[in-house]
This record gives sequence, C-alpha cells and structure tokens, in this order.
Amino acid sequence: MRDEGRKHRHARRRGWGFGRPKIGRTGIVLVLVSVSVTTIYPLLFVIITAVKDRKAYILDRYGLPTSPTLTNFAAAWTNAKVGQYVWNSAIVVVTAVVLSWIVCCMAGYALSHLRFPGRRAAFFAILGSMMIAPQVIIIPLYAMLIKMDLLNEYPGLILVYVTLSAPFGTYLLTSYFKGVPTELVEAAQVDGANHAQILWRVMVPIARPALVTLGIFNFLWMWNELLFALLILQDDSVRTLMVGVANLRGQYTTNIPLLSAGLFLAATPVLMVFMVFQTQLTKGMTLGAVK
Amino acid sequence: MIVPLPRNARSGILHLALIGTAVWACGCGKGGSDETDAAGKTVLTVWDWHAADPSKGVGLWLIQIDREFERRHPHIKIKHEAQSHTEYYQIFKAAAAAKRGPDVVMLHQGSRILDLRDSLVPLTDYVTPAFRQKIVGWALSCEDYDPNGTPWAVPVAVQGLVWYTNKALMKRAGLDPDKPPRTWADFLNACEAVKKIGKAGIAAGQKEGSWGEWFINSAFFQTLTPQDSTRLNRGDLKWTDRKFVALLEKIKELRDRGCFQKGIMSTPMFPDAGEVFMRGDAAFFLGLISDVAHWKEFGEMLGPQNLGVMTCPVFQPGPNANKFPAGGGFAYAITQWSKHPAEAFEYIAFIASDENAKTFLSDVGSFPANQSYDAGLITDPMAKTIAEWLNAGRGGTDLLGRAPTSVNEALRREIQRVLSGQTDAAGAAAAIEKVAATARSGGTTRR
Amino acid sequence: MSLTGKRSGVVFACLFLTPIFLLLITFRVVPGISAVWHSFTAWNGISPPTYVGLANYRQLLQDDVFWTALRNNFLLALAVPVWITVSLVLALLIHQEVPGWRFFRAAFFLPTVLSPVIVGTLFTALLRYDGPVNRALDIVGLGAIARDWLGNPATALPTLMLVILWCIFGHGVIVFLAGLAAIPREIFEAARLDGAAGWVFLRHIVVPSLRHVIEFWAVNLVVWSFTSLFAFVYVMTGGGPGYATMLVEYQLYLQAFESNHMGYACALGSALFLLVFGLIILQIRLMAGKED
Repeated sequence: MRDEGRKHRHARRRGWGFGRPKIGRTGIVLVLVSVSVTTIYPLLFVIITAVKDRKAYILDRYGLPTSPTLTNFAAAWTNAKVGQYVWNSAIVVVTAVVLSWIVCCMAGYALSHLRFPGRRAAFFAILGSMMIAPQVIIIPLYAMLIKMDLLNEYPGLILVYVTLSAPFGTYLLTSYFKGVPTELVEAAQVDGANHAQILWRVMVPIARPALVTLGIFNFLWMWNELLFALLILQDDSVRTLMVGVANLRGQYTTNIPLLSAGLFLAATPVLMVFMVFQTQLTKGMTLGAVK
Repeated sequence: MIVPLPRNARSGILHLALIGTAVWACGCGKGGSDETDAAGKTVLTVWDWHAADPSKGVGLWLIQIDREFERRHPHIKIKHEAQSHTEYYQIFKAAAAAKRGPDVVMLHQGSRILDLRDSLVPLTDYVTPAFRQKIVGWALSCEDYDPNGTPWAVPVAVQGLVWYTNKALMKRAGLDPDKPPRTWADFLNACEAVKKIGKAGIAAGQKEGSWGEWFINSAFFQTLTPQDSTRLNRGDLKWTDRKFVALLEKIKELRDRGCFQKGIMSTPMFPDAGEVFMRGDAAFFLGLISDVAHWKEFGEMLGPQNLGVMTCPVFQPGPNANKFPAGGGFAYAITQWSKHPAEAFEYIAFIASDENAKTFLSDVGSFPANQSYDAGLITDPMAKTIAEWLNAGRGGTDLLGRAPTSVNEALRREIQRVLSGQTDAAGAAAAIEKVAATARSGGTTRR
Repeated sequence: MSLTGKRSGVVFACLFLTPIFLLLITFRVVPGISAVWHSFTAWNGISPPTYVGLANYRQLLQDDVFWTALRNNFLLALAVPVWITVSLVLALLIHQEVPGWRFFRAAFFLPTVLSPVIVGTLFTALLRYDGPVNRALDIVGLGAIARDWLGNPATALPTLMLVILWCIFGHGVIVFLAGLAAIPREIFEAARLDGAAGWVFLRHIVVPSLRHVIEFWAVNLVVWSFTSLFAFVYVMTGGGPGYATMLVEYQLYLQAFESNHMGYACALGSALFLLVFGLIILQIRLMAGKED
C-alpha cells in the first residue's frame, strides 16, 4: 500500500522529465529513502527488541530500550540451541556449496567445451529438470531417503541441496565458460593437458567471478531453506538453524525479546556474507538474467 | 595427477571440504537408539515434548523420575530426548517408517495413539488388573476406545477443560464473584457487563484453532449423550446433525455478541491467550486442569482468592449438562522396534506409580491418572474443587479425541471461519461432514 | 595416445556429466516418477500402498480446500505485475545514480537475504492487533483502519502478498538494474532530446528494451509463487484463518505430513506440476508471440 502511494507521487513528478536537476532528484531520493526505511526498520526493530529484557519489552514495546542488555543473546544461544543448530547448518551448507561447485563446474565444462553426441539434449535435460517443483518430489524423496538410511543424516540433506542447485549452477557456468576463448583451451591441449587439467587450471581461474557469485547465491538460499531441512534433519541433534528458529515460536512465544535475539543470531551469518560480498553478488546475480 | 598444494583460498576451501566430506562420510549424523552403552548397561531412549524445558513443571518432574529410576535400576540408563511439540508426530512417524527411534514414547491420548498402533507394542500382557484398576482414562488409549480393550499406552496424566473466572474483574463489573454464571443467558449478560467496564468477556486464542476445539469438547455434554458421541465418531451420526450444529451456533453467538478480546484470530492459545486472562484483561478463560494454563499458573498470577472455576454455562439443560471433559492427558507407549520392552514397561509403570502420582499433584500441580492419591491433601482451593468434581463423577470423556485427525483439522478451520464471519454454523457443519465422509470411506488413507 | 581429441572429449564428457546426472536422476527424476505412480494409490507412508486408480484425482476435483487454495494461488499470481512494476520503477530511480544509489541498492536487497522464516516471524509480531504497525497507523491518525491484519480473512491474503513483496522486490530491482545497464546510453539521450518523459518514456522506451528481462523475471515470479511460498505460510498463518491463505503447496504438506494421506498428496503434487508446466509453456508462447 505504501509503495503504491510512492509510485503515484513519483508519476506526478515525472512530468518534469529526467533533465531537471535539483527538485526532481530530491523527490527521487525521498522516495528511495522511504523505501529503504521500510527495509531497514524491521531489522532495527529486531535488534532493539533483542536488547530489552522481558519486563522492559512489556512496559514499552516500540520505544528505544532504556537499559539494553545482552542476556537475551546468551539465553537464545542456549535455550534455542542456536549454538548447536548453527553448527549443523554450517556443516550442511558449506559442504553442499563446495560439492555444488564441483558438480556444476564439471557439467558446465562438458556442456561448453567438449564435443560429443547428445550435447544439446543433455543441456536441455538438465535445464528441464528445474521444472519438477520440489513439492512434487518431496514425498517419494522422503520415503527414498528413509530407505537409503539417509534420514536424519547430514548427507541426506546435502545431496538434496546439491541436486536442487545443480541445474541453475550448471546453466550459469556453462554460459560463462562459453565466453572463454577456445584458443586458450586449444593452447592448453597442445601443451599436453587433458580435459581435467584444462578445467582446473584454465577454466576455473577465469570463471572465478561466476564461481564466487554461485557460491554466495547457493550459500544464501541453502542457509535459509526450511522445507527440506524440516523434513530430512528432524532429530534434535542434527536440526538446522532455520528449523530451530521456526520452532522458537512454539515454545517461547511470550518472550519476544528472546525470540528476537534468536532471530538476529540466525540472520547474522547471512548478513555477514551479504555485507562482505554484496557488490559481487549484485553484479553477479544478473549473469544469467541478461542475454 | 598430483593435486597442487593450496596456494590460494579457493584451493584451501576445496581441500577442507574434501576432508570434511570424508569425515562425515565416515558416519556422523544422528538418530536411532543404542541398545547398550559402553558400560554394558541397557539404554532406554525416551521421547517426549515436556522435557524440552527441564527447569520446571512436568519437565523437571520427568527428569527427577529418570534419576530415581536409574538409581533403583543400576543396569538401566535412561536417554531422554525431548522433541519439539510442533512437529512431534511428524518426527515420530518418520522414526516409525525407518523403524528406529525411541523405546518409550509419550503420546497424546486419543486418535493419535490409535493412528500409530502399527508402531506400538500392545500392552495386554504387561498391564495387570490391579494396575488397570488404579488408573483412570484407559478408554482413550485402548483399542476401539473400549476401556477394557487392548491397551496401547499407559495414561499418566489427566487433562481436562474447565472455565476459569477472574473474581476481581467480576466484582468490578457488578457481578457476584462467588456465583459464576450458570445459564447461557446469564453468561452472555456477564460478558456484556464486563465489556462495559472496558474489558473483554472471554480470553481466547484461535491462531491454531484450539479454542474452538476446546469449546466443543467443553459444551458437547449438553447436546450429545455418550452413545451419540460414539455414533458421531463412527459415522452413524452425521456432523450436520442438529445436536452438533447447536454447538457451532453457540460459538457464532459468542462472536456476534462480541464476547472475545480483540484479535483472537492471530492470538496463539499458549501462552498469549492465557496471558490476556492473567493480566486481568478478560473475565473468563476456558483452560486446562493440568500442566499449563491452569489453576496453578493462574492462581500464582492472580492470587488464589481472585480465581474462580466453573463448568460450561448451560444452554440446554439435561442430565449431563454439568459435566466437563476430563481424561486423556499424556500417556506413554512402547515402540515395536524396542529391544527392551520389559524394561521399558518397568519404566512406564514407575512413572505411573503411586509415589510419582503424588508428586505429580503436589509439585507439578497436575492431576495424575493414577487415582491412588489422597484428595484430602490438596491445598489449592481450585484444585480441590476440581478434584471434588472428578470424584463426583462429573468428568467425562471428550468428544474430539476420538475423531480422525483430518476431521479435527477441518473442524478447527471451520470454526475459525465461523468466528471470522466467513460462514455460519450450518455451512461449517456441512464442510466438516464432507471431510468426515471421505475419512470414513477409507478415502485415500489406509489405517 | 594423448588424452585430447574427439574420443577423449566423449570420455571426459561422460566422466564430467556423471555426477550431475546421477544426482538429478536419483533425487529428482525417480522421485518424480514415483510421485506420479503413488498418486494412483492410497498410502500412509509406512504401510505398502494400495492401488486406487483415479480415486485421488476424483477427490481432488471435489475438494473445496483444493479449489480455495488454487484460487488463492491465482490471486497471488495476479499480484506479480504489481511486484514487477514496483521493482522496475525503483530500478529506474536508482539508475539515475542519485547520491547514495549504492546504499539504496544494498538496502533494497537486504530483505532478500533474510530467510522467509525470519521475515515471517518478524512480520507476524509487527502485524499483531496490538503491534507496531497498528500503533504507527494510530499515531499518524489512521487508527481507524487498524485491524488484525493476519487474523482477518479479508486482509490475510493481501497482507501476505505485501510481506512477500517486501521480501523480493529488491531482487527484482537488481535484475532490472542489470538490464538497464545494458541499454545503450544513446537511447536515453535520444528520448530526452525528443522531450519524451515520464510515463511515455517508461512505456515506449524502457519496457520494450527490457522486454526479455521483464519476461524472464515474470516467469520466474509466477513459478516461484506456486512453488516456493511454503515458509511464509508455515510461519505466518498456517493457511488460515480458516482457509484464507491456504496454498496448494501448503495443502500438499498438510496432507502428506500431518494427515498422512500420502497418495492424495502425490496427486496434489502432480496437479501442481502440470499447472506450473502449463503456465511456463503459456508464458514462453506469449514471449515468442511478441517476438515479431
């Protein structure tokens, strides 16, 4: 609703065109600032609430904290088992990201630089598999993982994540690898390198930006994933952070400050990754979008 | 081909990952029960949802029981694994499908136990007649809901639903605090009076739909006889029958008269709705008699002199009109894949024993299924009243505990729709009947 | 011989493509086929399934909950043009490179980085009847429209739509920014010289140039809205009140994992797949149609 209002206000100003410096620009900045407020305030709210103790929150829910405390973070760490769950998430996600790199690099190289019959078919098959929505396969997958004894085991979720990330990753890397001039490949071949060495020594270094982007992108969505994590790693000892957070609501609904502290802790790794790699990511995200 | 030594971060990560992969491939990841530990002791794995908070209440009581049991049985070790309440059954079903998990499992009595009986051990050989005699509530844990049938679990707690009143608030509203409203008309008037002083009549939490379910369980005694309830759950009586629709109409009436606090549709039952009552923002609360949202909790917050208790206001007088649902607290069962069923039953019997029943009442403030406790020892006035009611036979088996899960789910949602004005009582009943019909025809489930 | 040349190409291709095909077949294709097969059975996930033919599909057609969920999904899909427009407009504004544009770009992308679980939990707290949002409305004098946003069946779905918009508009902004960056400056210059401004500029210059990107993003969003909103519903409303925010995806989860009607859930899944597949084909056709 608020955004609609902004849109209409801007439409009025647009009659001045893009040439007018001061006022037009100020209007634009105002609009952008207001939208930024809506994106930043909720996070601020979480932080502000997390540093209040329970009584202070009940007394004054929306104001600034009078005597900020860090006890909630400590409590969330233990009660909400953040310390335990974050470790599970880390193991699963890091392994999945690395494996995804390996799988997609190999597939990408094969689809871009190797000549073999059925190459086009393979490419479309991989891409086509993206159309099978997760919901469709979730039940047989669940039953299959039970039979394979992978339920409540890290590899169960890891393999699922790698599979889910494979088509997009392959597509991204195939496009990127295609941009590598064949002369480089041929030169390496003349030097006697086999394809594995070419991939490792030539392609991967050149495709670093794409790899970094893919890695960050995978990290983000895998860290935040809920449905498969909820179903595959159910046991408390292997539960991931997001599932733990989702269930904070059940047990600790009163204690909003505690909940907020837990939420913040859960978001921290992702926020850190985002802050550090932000420019990389925003540039790289579009590698696949624009032809 | 020799892999070059890591010279930059990327290779380093790759190496680490390969090592990490090798490590987990060697079998980390948990789940499953160990049968004997290193010291040669028998290990019993126990699952429940209460021990997640071992610092007080039921959680603490259970942990203390573990210690005592281990002390008396030095060759047995208890491995207690608390699970989240929200997906408790999902997790257990996964364990059941994989045939590994706990030896002993806590379950809600009712259709849940019967749904899972393929994964449980029938306790016929373990439950002696004397044991059966002592404990109340077998109906919801036995085959066919027959209290003399094959028991699938041992009831440990007695749960129930009663209406609590805030005496102080009633006084402020000009009502007699010691005479809670007995008829439906009185009740509606009482709510109006409370509204006039700026508070709400009833504190309710409808986010998950529990309040609606509780109300039905609390009020159905007035319109449905015990035979009717069995027929209803079996399908011989339809959910569109007048006797059931009357209950939905009462819910609608409460809504139309504005008896609830604002925002009930997004208020969870625990603990938010209870908090509304405890803060003194509402005069009436439909609550439990054990564990949580009950007399002990409210008594501590409001002061025992300010707390009153009553059964559902009567809109249809009859022989059962003063009854309240009691029975069907949590129970313990033994899983089929357990390698130590005998020890498991010893453990369960210990939990349900006389001595622990006493501490359940005194320390936890909950009613045990084991009736051997001395009701005279109860000090809390509310608990005393409830115990008296139980002794007088006013407690009855609830209606919905025996209904299939899909029907309960539909019922909860339909009541939400009634309370938010999307449908009326007849429409809701029709929708529930439709779901029930599918469930009955075997539909697409296999029992 | 040396490991280069055509034969080695085939050998290595097999080698390099094995992992991905192994994964895809094991964890995507086989379960997919299995799901379709199980949709013709009655199955509780533990005991062996019994064949029931088309019974599940017949039940599906008569299932009010399914049709309500489908309706909700379509309503959400209708919101996609709004989501696109918001992102597009904001991208255009940032494209002007006003002071602080890098900050805005990062700020807009921030919600995307957060997990839907966190977003859902946060907004459930913010949107409560006695929550900050209503309090803020009260302060600015709009207290009359304050209500139980997620608990009121009339506003639950729109509120959900808005929360989702908040979550993903930044992603769209980034995508469109990249698209805008690819448009040659000359087009903008020419338009300005011609005096084209505002709405005209948007409709006749920007949108055609960004057509591919917009279509790509639209397809993406529509598919996403049918297949990836589980976390939001799970955390914020549970499909309620009543069935006001029930989505097909969520119903599938409930049927499979709460009610144990696995066979029926598979039928739901297959129906969902056909739906999404159909939508994608439709949209590709539309895109190709405009190509001339």
